[in-house]
Amino acid sequence: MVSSLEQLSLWLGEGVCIHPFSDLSGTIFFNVFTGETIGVALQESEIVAKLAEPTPTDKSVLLLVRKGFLKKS
Amino acid sequence: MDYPIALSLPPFQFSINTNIGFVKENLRAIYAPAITTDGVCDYEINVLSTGGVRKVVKPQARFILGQKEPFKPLPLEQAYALLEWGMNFAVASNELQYVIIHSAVLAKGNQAILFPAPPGSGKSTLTSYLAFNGWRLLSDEMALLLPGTNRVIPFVRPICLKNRSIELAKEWFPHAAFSSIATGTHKGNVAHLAPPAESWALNTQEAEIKAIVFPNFRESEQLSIYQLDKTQAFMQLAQNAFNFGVIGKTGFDTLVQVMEHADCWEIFHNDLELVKIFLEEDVLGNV
Repeated sequence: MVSSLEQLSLWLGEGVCIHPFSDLSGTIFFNVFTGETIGVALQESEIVAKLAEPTPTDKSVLLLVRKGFLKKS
Repeated sequence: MDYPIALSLPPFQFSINTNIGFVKENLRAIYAPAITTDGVCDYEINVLSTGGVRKVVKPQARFILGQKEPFKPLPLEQAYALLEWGMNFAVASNELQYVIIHSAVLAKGNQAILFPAPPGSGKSTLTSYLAFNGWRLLSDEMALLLPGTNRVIPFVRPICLKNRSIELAKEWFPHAAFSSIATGTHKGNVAHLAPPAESWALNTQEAEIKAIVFPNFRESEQLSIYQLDKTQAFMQLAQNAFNFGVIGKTGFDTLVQVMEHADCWEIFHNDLELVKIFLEEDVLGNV
């Protein structure tokens, strides 16, 4: 069975690291090329679910896509 | 002939040459336990009074690090503060083998707490209070994190006090060594307070980060405490990191390690003794 973290890693942009926190408060994205960091209050499974929507509307996910942390498809 | 003053401030060594009398006096008073005869140094610094017409008209002090002069000169009476800020700059801009965070670090035994905070938050006042009341000072300005771990190494230096906190600290610690006061700096009046002897003595003993506390002085609040979740705290901590974006994945992994092993709090306070009790009983007592 593929974990949600493995599923999410398929969506990551180039040079992007992530860490879902153990307190389930959210996930941190870090771009090693630009040093840019974004934290979202979503767990990896929630992000994967929102990315799988035909037209994602979640503002956090849209921001991650717009900033290149996540690929569009 | 004047000789440079060599300072052993683990993990670094500084050689400081100055032709300004009160800078020498301050160095000898504040750094007495750190003065060494070892000639090896990591940073060679000159703090010199300006020449020519500037000797008599609005005299200034220059800070020179190696062969470079990274800042514009400041008024001569701010020369000692310029030296301290310049030493911070030297380490923050060159030492990429550590993850460096703008934060005070204090410990009980080997259990450390980070206090990251912007200027004006009362961080240094809190630092001085704890350092002279049973806590060990590891640093007032910068936390040097060992990459890939949740451990911090000391970089024991004076505590930078501003404005009203200078008088408060002089009342609280009448026997401590203070520098002369630099007036009219961009931070207001500034003085440096020498760390207690115990902190100097343990200045190579690393500690494990048990908690991160973001302090805020509030005239109107005795003590309000908010526990932060790890995502919130990570973002706040990353904003205070000097070289997080530069050292890439190593910095990210280190902050993640720290965050996963630490409890995180934000406090608003006007009572330092209450803060001390909170830290000792609730923060360190429960970890």
